[in-house]
Amino acid sequence: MDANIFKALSNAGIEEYRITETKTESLEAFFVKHRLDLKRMKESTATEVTVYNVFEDEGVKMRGSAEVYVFPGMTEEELTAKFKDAYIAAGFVKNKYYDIAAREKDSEIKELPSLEESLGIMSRALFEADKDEAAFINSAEIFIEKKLVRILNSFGSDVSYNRFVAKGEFVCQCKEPQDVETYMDFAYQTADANALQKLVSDTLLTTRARAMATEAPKAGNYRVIISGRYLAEIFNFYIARTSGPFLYAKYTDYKPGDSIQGEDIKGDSINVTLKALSPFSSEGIRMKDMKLIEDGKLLGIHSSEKYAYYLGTEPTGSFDSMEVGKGSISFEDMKKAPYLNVVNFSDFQVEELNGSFGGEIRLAFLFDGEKTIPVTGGSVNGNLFDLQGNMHISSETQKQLHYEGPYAICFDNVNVAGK
Amino acid sequence: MKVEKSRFITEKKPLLKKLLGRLLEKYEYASVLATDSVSKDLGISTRGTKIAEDSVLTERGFVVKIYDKGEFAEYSFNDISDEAIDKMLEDIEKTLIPVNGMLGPVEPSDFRIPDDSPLSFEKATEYRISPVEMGDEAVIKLLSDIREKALKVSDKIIDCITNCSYQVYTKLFLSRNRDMTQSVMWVCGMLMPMASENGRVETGYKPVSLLGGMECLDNLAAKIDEGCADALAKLDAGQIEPGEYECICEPDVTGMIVHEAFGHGVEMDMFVKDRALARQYVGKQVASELITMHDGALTIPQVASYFFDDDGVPAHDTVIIEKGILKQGICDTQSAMMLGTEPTGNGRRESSERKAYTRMTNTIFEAGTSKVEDMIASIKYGMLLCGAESGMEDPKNWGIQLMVGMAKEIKDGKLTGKVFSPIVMTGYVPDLLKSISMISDTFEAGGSGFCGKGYKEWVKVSDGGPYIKARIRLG
Repeated sequence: MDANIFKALSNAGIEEYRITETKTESLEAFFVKHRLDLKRMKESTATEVTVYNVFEDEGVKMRGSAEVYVFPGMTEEELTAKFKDAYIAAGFVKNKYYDIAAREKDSEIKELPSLEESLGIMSRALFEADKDEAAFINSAEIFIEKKLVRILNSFGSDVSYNRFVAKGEFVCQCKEPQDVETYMDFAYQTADANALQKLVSDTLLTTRARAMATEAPKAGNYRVIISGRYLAEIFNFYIARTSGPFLYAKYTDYKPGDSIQGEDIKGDSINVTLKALSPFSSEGIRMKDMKLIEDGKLLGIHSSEKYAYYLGTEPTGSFDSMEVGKGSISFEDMKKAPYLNVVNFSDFQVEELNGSFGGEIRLAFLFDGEKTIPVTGGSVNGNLFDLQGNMHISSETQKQLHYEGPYAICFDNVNVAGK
Repeated sequence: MKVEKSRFITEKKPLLKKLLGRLLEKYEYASVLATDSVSKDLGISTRGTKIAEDSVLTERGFVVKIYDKGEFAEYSFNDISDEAIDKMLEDIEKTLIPVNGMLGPVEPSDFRIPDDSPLSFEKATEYRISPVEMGDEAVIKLLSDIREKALKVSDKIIDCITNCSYQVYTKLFLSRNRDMTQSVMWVCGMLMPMASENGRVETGYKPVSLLGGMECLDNLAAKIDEGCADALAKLDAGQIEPGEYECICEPDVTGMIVHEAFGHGVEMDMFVKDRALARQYVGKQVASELITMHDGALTIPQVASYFFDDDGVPAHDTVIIEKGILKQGICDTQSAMMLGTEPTGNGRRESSERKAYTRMTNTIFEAGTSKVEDMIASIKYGMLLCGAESGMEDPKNWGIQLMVGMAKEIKDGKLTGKVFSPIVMTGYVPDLLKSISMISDTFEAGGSGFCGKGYKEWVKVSDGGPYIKARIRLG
C-alpha cells in the first residue's frame, strides 16, 4: 500500500479512516462466432479511502464520511489536498453517530490459477460444447480475473484476501425455422469447464426451442411457472426488504419472528440462508453464513455496521450469495395442470418497494391441458405481495455463483399481456 | 467558461508519447488513450447523507491498442513510469500476443490498420458554475431543502431521495498522426419522492441533466410537486387490462422508445455479429414518415456529448431514420472495418479498463408540428404514458420491453384522473414506429441514467424527443 496515503492522511489531520486497496489482473478474449475479435490484458490498482469526521450538530453527535479514490502516482501533496477536501465534505454529511468496531489483523490468501491457462480452459470448453446441428454460438466474451484486496482502518482492522473469477457471456443463435438468439452470462470461482459446457449445451437447446415459437400467448390470467436464472431475482426481493437500510428508512417494518409471506400461507413457505463469496466484508467483518428466513419466519436483519448500530442489531456485513430451501412439489407435478412456463425473459425485474415483477417473454411453453407449444412475445406482470401466500416451489434445485436453490416457482392467476 | 484541461494528463503526456514511440517501433499501429476523471455523487434520503466519488466514473487510467498481423490487442493499466513501460511491453509480447495458442481452434481476425489521417486539437465544453465553486455544502443544502419541501407535500410522503452527480474529465488520444485532447463536464440531479399507504410504497422520479455545470440544479426544485403527485397517484393506481391502446408518450417515454426499442438495434457491432434485424432494413421504411431520428455526440449538447470517441474518431451527428426510412446505423472503428463502412464516432468504453463497443450517445426523434393538447383531444379511449423507468433491447427480433411508471387514462379526448401502474410496453418495434400518427412541436431530452450493453458496460447517454401518438400493447 502506498506510504504516501498514510502520510497524506496524517498531513490532513485525519484520525479516523478506512482504506480499501484492490489490485486487479485480468486476461480477456472476445469472439465473433469462432473468430478472435480482440484480446485484452489489464493490470490496475484502485484505492478507496473513506474519511470519517465525528462532530456535533445541534447537540447531536454525528459521524460523517466521504469516499474518494486514489491512483498510482498521486503525490503526497495531491493526496493531502484530496483528503482535506474529503474531511470537510464529511462534515456536511449529518449521519447519526455509530461505532466502528476494532477488529484484528486477518488474512486469507490462496494460490490462484494462471490467467493464461484458465482462459484457455474456458475458451476450449465454450467451443467444444458448440456442437448442435441447428443452433450455434454467435459471439462470446471471457474474462479471467484475479483480485487482491486489502482493507484496513484506523480502528485496528487489517484484513486481506484474494479472489479468482472466470466469467463472461455468450449468445446462442438458431436460424431455422426462424432466426432467434439467447443471451447467457456465467461466473465461476474456478475455471469450471464442465459447468460452462453444460450451460452452453442447455442454452443451445433453449435457442432451438425458441426458433420454433412464433405466437405470443393470448392476453389473460395464467398459472405461471418461472424457471431458471430468474429465481434469484424473486428471492432477492426478500433479501432487500430485510436489510438494515430498508428497515431504518421504514420502507418495511419487518422484525424477527414476522411471517415474511403474510399470515395466510397456502403454498410453500420459504427458507433463505445468506452467504458471502469473500471471506471479509467491505468493512473487514469476517463473513459467516446467516440463516435469514426459516419456514417463512424472519430470523434476523442483515446490515452494515452503521445501520446495525442504528437498529440495535449485530453487524453482519453484506452478502452476495444466497441458498434457498427446495420446495414441496416436483417440476413435473407442477406441470400437470395447465400452465405458462417462462424459461427466458428479455429482462426480468422485481421492484423491491412495491412487489411488482414483470418481463417480456422471449420463450415460454404453454400447456393447455392437452398439448404444449412454445410461445414468444407478450409480458408477465404480477405482484409478489398478492402472490406470495400461494407460491409453489420446486423440489429440483439449481446452482449459480450467487444463488443455490429451487429451479422453478409457480404462481396462480398472473396477468399476461399477449396477443 | 471552458472546462480546464487535467494537469495530470499534461504532465504525463511526454511519458505517454515515449510509450507510443516504443510501441510503434514494434507494431504497425498503436494508440494510447489516457483518462483523468473526477466524479462525485451527493445524495440525501432517510437512510442518510452521502458524499462519495463514483467508483466507475472516477479514474486515472490508460489503454494502449496495438495492431499486430491483422489482429488488435489492448492493454489497460493505471501506473505509468519508465519501469512500468518496460513491464507492459514484456507482458504484451510474452503473454498477450501468444495467448491465441491457448484458446483452442479459434480463427484469427483479418483487420486492417485504422484510419490515422492527421488530427490535432484541444477542445473543451462550457459551464457556468463549477462544482468546486458551488461546494459540497451548498449542494447538500439545496438537496436537503428540496427533500424537506417534498416531505411536507403529504403525510403519505415517507421519503424523498435527492441526488446530484457530476463528472469532469479530460481524455488524451495519441497515435502516430493524432494528438487530441478533450475536457468535458456534465451534471445530473434528481428527486424521487416515496409515498406509502397500507404497506405499499410507490415512487415518483424527476431528473435534470446538463452538459455544463451546477446551474443544472436550478430547475430541480420546480419538479417537487409533480414528483410527489406521481408517487401519490400510483398509490391509487389500478392494474391495466392487457391490450393495445391509443397512447400519447411523454418525451421521456419517447426517449426510451428511441433508445431501447430502436437505438440498440442500429449499433453496428450487432450487424457484424448478425444480431440485428435492422441490417436487412437499411433503405427501407421502418417508421412513420413523420419520424426522423439522430444519434451523435454532436446531435444535441447533453451528457453524452464529446469531441472524439474512445477509438480516436471525431464526433458525429448521424441521421439514422429520415422521414421513416432507415438510412444507416452507428459504428465503432473495428466494426466499421468488418462492414466496409466508416466509423461514426460511437466507439465508447465504460472506462479505460474496458474495451470499446458501438454505443449510443445522444439519441433523439426530431420534433413535429402538432400541439400536445390536440394530440390528447384526438384520442377517444387511450393512455398518456408517463415516467420512463427501464427497458431492454432486442435488436435480433425487434421485440419491445419497456417499463413505464404510469398510464393516465384518456376518455373522449380528456384525462379522466384514473391511473394504472406499473405498465409494461411490449410489441414489435416497426409496428409501434409505423403507427406514430402525431408528433408534438415540443422537444425535451435528458440524460439522467446510464446505458448498458446487455447487462454491463455502463456509459452515460441521453435521449428524448417530442410527445408522440402511437398504438402500443400495454400490460
